[in-house]
Amino acid sequence: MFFDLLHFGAGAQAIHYFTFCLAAILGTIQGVALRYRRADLLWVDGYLGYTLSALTIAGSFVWFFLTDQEIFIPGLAGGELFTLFVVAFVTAAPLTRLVAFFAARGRALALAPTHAAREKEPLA
Amino acid sequence: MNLDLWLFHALNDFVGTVPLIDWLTRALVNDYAVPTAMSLAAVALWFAGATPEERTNNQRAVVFIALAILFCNALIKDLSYVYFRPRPFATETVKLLFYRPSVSSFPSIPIEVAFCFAAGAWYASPRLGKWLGILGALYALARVYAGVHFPSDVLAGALIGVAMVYIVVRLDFVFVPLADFAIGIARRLQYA
Repeated sequence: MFFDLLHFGAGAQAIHYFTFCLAAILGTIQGVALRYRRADLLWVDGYLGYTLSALTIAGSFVWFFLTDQEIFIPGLAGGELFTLFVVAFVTAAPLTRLVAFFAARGRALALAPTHAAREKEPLA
Repeated sequence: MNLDLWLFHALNDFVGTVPLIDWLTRALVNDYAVPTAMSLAAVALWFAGATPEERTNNQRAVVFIALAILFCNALIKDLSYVYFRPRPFATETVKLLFYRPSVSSFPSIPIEVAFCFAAGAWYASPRLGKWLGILGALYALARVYAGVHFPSDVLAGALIGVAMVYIVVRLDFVFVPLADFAIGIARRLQYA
């Protein structure tokens, strides 16, 4: 069936394409998370977040097209590209949520009043 | 000379005249750049939405795109058993900017996929659909310019892609419950 058609060539290009997709998907999700205020997906807020998103997407394209020398010869077939993209998505979504969880905890800890500040607060 | 051949030569004979256009064509025509960019747009659509209703509508559009691509590929695979059109480089004098694909030239599968993305995105976001449509049109132009398709191949691919999305959307009584089922599973697994 479908999986019998998957060979992934010599393998190196499949690894390159998976890495490219993974990085580009992570960058894309960050862009959307910022645009729609998705706290469950967000790593870095504000302009820094948009910069990180844009650099990740652009960087992944530039890296892939500069490093992979086999782009203009018959390489991965459509089904193989689709499978690698889906595997990259399946990896990227939970990774995004995991990093977002720790980033949110980090932000909460950074915003929490310090012990000294808490001691200075007047008692009710 | 028929219109299809005339248009093909009008574009392909220009290869080698302006190196920048050749370079841009190579950047567009390969198997990776445009399909990956369109897939990333689908990922963005999957997570986008200011309200739960908008998000559900966007996610349905992504499922419709996937279904339309699946049905188109099945249709074209069946079509290739009954009709095989040789590539332009097999029958014409061509300035080739790409490798020599072996599958039938008609209809263009990459363009059919690109227009499934564009039409499906249009269902949720006409603005995104318009941009993907422009990218798809440039991709189609690049495939002809690079010498791997005749204009009628890319036109047929685009029409099949758009028509298949239209059919999937019109059959909403079948595909909306199916899409909602898939979205429900994805949400339970924290993928949406």
